[in-house]
Amino acid sequence: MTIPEFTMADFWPVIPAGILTAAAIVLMISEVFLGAAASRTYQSLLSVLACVLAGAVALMNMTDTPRAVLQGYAVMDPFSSFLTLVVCVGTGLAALLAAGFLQHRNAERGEFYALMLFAAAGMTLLGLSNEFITLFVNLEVLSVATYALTAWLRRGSRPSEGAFKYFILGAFAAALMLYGAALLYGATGTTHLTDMAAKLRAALAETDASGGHPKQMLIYAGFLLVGAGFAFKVAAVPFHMWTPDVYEGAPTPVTALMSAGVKAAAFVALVRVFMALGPAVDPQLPFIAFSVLALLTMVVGNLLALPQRNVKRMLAYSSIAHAGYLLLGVAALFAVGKDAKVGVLSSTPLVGISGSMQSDVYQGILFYLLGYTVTAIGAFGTIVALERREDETKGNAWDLDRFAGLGSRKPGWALAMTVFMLSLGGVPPTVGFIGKVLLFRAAVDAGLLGLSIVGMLASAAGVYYYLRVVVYMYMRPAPEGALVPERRWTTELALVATAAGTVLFGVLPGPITALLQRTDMLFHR
Amino acid sequence: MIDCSSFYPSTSLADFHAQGHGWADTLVCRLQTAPLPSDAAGSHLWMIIALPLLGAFICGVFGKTLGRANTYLVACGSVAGSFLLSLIILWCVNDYRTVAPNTYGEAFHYAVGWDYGVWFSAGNFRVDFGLMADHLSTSMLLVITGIGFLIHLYSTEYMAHDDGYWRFFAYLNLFVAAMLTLVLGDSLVLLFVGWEGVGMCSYLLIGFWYEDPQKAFAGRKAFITNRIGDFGFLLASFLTVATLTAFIAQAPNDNFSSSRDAAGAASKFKQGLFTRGPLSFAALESFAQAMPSGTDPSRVTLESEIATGPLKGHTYGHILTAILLLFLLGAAGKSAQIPLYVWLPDAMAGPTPVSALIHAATMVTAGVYLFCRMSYLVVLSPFAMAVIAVIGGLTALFAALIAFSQEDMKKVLAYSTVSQLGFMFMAVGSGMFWAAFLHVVTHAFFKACLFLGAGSVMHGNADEGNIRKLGGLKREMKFTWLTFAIATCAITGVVPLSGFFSKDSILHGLHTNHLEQYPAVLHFVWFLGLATAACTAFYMTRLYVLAFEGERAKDARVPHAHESGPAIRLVLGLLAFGSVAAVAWGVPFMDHPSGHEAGVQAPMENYLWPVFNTARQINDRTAFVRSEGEHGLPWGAWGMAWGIALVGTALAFFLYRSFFPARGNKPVPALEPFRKLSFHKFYVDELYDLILIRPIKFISFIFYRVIDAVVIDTIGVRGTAWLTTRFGAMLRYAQSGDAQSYAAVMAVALVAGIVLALWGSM
Repeated sequence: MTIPEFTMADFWPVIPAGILTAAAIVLMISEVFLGAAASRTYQSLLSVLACVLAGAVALMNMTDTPRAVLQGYAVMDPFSSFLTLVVCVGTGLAALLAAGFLQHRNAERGEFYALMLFAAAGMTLLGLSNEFITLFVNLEVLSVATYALTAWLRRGSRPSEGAFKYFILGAFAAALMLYGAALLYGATGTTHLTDMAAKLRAALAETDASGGHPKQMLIYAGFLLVGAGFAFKVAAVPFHMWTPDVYEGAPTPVTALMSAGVKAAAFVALVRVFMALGPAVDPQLPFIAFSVLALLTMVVGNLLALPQRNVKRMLAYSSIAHAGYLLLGVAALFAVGKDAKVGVLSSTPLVGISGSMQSDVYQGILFYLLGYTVTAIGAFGTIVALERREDETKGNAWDLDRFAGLGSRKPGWALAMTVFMLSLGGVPPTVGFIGKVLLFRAAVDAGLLGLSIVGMLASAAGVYYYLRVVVYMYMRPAPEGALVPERRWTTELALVATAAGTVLFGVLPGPITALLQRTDMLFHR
Repeated sequence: MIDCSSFYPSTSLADFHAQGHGWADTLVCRLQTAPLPSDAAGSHLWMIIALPLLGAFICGVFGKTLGRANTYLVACGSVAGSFLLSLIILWCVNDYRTVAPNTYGEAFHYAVGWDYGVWFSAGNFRVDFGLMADHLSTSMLLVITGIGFLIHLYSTEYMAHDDGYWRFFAYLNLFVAAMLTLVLGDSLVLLFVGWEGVGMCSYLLIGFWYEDPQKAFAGRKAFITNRIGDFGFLLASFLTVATLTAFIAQAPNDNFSSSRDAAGAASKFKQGLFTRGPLSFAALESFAQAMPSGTDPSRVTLESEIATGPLKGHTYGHILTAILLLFLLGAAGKSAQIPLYVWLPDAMAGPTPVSALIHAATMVTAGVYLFCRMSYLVVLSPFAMAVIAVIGGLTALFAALIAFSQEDMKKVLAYSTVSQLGFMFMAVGSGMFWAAFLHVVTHAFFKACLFLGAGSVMHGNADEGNIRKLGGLKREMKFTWLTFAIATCAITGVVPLSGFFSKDSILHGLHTNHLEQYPAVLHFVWFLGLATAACTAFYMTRLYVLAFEGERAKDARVPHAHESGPAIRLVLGLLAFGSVAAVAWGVPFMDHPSGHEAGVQAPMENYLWPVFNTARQINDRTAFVRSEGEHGLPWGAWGMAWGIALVGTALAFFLYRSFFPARGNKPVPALEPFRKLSFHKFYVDELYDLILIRPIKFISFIFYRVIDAVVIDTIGVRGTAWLTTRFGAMLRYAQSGDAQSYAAVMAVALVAGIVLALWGSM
């Protein structure tokens, strides 16, 4: 057996994950020496520090040459490095939020942060996996950690119910993906994404005695199964049904992390897998699949959020809707030429997507991920600041009434929440607006005019439920005996950071878009 | 003595030079060395706008916490800073080596400018954010910031008892910033930004005391009337874009043959249009230069039909006339000309400093500035010139007649402003742009002084503005009386105050200039002007006599008026001094340039020469306006103008000092119908109400009840909302909370997908 030779260049992309894991281990071990009453604020701050360090490394990696590393099991490209950055931002902010939340419930333990950091490490690694088994392992690393985090609070039935549903359905989805990967392996004999593309083409071309294509069914089924696994992770309709229950049951900082980080990582992995394998098969297949998913997700996500009075559930549905917009971007990547047989809701002939347009789509997706991460964590952070432990078992901790009169009770929080709601609704001058502009512009350029119009209409309907929160905050009187919410500096710091980021990137998106304006975003061999 | 034989020795103006004249020229020669290089001055023009803008921000956001004194300091200081910067710019543009870059053609001399890059673009259409200051804009800069500063200073005392002082100064500073944008913008688009900005500030300041519904209504009236004008402005801009686009596609190089290198000039112009867009003034100037009259088959002329684009089939001349008439609509809105003048008298509801700054000295002259800025286009359309002159003449006389019988001090002054603006439009229509602008400057001084004097009177008389209830202030408010009297003399046209020369240069121009195609028009307008001059003398003297002479009225609000404080007196004194000193611009003592117009010229004409040089060259070519040269000073015309002013003054003195008081102030029955007609402003407001406002209200009522309430609100808005919510509620039923059914949905979807994929690929 020969030990492969690795150089430092192979390890740079995994260093952020290493930093996160190391911090997690430190947190777990240090927890052993603490008494029950000891102050644990340092744990949150240590997690934030780890995220900052990992993020800095990721930022450095952004400018590095894209290449395959670790014998082709992973890649190093700006696409995955930016995901690492987004994950670090999201995890850091969620850890800040968690401090106050957990102290309030007397549930702050080092293991919580350790699990968060493990999940984050899994997310960053998922983004750069270039081989099915690596990908699956990383997916499980992040999934198992989030299952555990969902059930962290053991008070009442909701957390355990949420966690159990998440686990059962997650296992189902993981099985689907693994099955699909196995089918693809069966057809090609390899698990490396880069090798697989060429072999898929050969396998599809094989003919049997009767002139049929024996492996065609195998490959298409494999594709769809893998796609279904990802669709579950990104909560695309109709694989979305777990989302509201799990998001509601999980501790709110964890919900924030799931809505932002997990989704971002799954999207990046999805793009990587399908961009590597898609061209090998008929490109119309992924195009139709993602168009239909995008259509359903945008429409159903927004419609389901409309009647919600429970703000946490509303944000869960809203995160589904946002996944729909991102799927629109993914569909745009597969827009095919004029000779296309189909065009889902497309009123213009599909013009096909050129290399430069592709980089526009990547830019749109990544910018949107960053914008959504910052905004969604801020929105969940406001809920963290407002919710009270006593109400959780009753299930009305997140009712719209909790926001009534917030504008006069807590003007700063209300202003921050307004910013988040406007950003989620895509109103300038927030990051949500710029993200939508970039994403929809890329989709329109790729010819997805009809789908983009549907997306616009759906997001217009979405403004209704976002603005309803604002209406409650500013135009409804505070209910009798409304408790004055506690202030915690960590929570407020997170709120200030997210609100400032939401506005700042909305006014000055230039530095970020310049960072993402690259033709070699995604590494191809 | 420094050798300085010519004021404008640049090569592009080689045909022009004026002889030196002693110490004044020596001083001018010294000042002709710019303190800054052109680039440095041009690239810092933005600071002139930024200072008051910052001031507005500070006053508006922190004014309440900063307290009065600090707010005053910020507000006055920012405008004073802009004034100092404007002085530096003035110094710069007096150097013949100062040039502003011009993408469309030869660089501009005696100007500084800077292009800050693309502002917005759509397809081939671009608008750059560029600022430029030449002699015209620099003079406006000085008027805006100089008089603006004085009025800020005045307001510190006038608004001393108002709790909304911070709001007031924020608006006032914002106004100054918008007005500076208007005059510094080097394109129609940026000018329009300032144009709308001043309109908004005017609205905010007229309705400053918004608790009073009548004042809030006056603000709305001003805003809506101006919107009608803005509509014309926008349409004109759109037409301009279409015309220039068509021209550049159609024009052969021969069109540019007046330059030495026709092909080079043509390609430079095309390049400029492509890279900088068609709405810059430099583009319009190059376009006007390249547009000959007549029917020359080798060129595109005013008579040729437009070959491409939406305007296909119309001649360039007709389209240009349409553009100018639409701009006239815009200018009539802003500068209160017929038919849109109705807002200005009502605008007096705002605080008096606002009336002085916005509604007398600066904003209302924006229309005149617009036409001066585009003088080269105006001279291409004699029809538009005739219309402008007639509108100006009618407005001047009409407003003067209304001013005869108004009893509110500020109303009289407002109609007087409308009337004086009419004079400026007459001058524009006769091609005497410099005279129009000279009147802008002198009018700014004496009318600001009059308004602020009226403010001082109201300040000292418990806000009493009715001249019938004042009287005898000559003894009680000596300083206000003195300055008011000087300014009255200036507007009446008493020699040797500034108003005489500016008004007379306009009347003189109307008398000597003739539109070749409409020979009678300017003569007619000249008569209107003479009549207006007489009326002006009459109503201003009436105002003065009733308020300041005679005995104090018995029904006065307070028994004794008190003189205003030092800030107000200082400002009044400076403005009165300015009304006298501005005469230096207007006395024709400089030698006229060589050419057919031998004679003498006023310093203002000489000073604005580079600005209106293009218009003059174009007119030399087209000969649309013919000027009868006169030799020597126009003593005859001066004598007549003076005589007219004296007659009007004497008549008013006689009537209001001896005739009416002797009758016990009873009205004369024979004149009563005329007085009523004038007092009710010829019932124009009522007429507008009947023919415009009521029909529109009726139509909007129908729209509101049927279209809006039923179709849009009920069916459109509530209907779709109801339907959407229903859908959402229905989808909720699928969300049962049951994990098995969730998994089942996933499985079904997956199977459906596989089936579809296989079926599709078969």
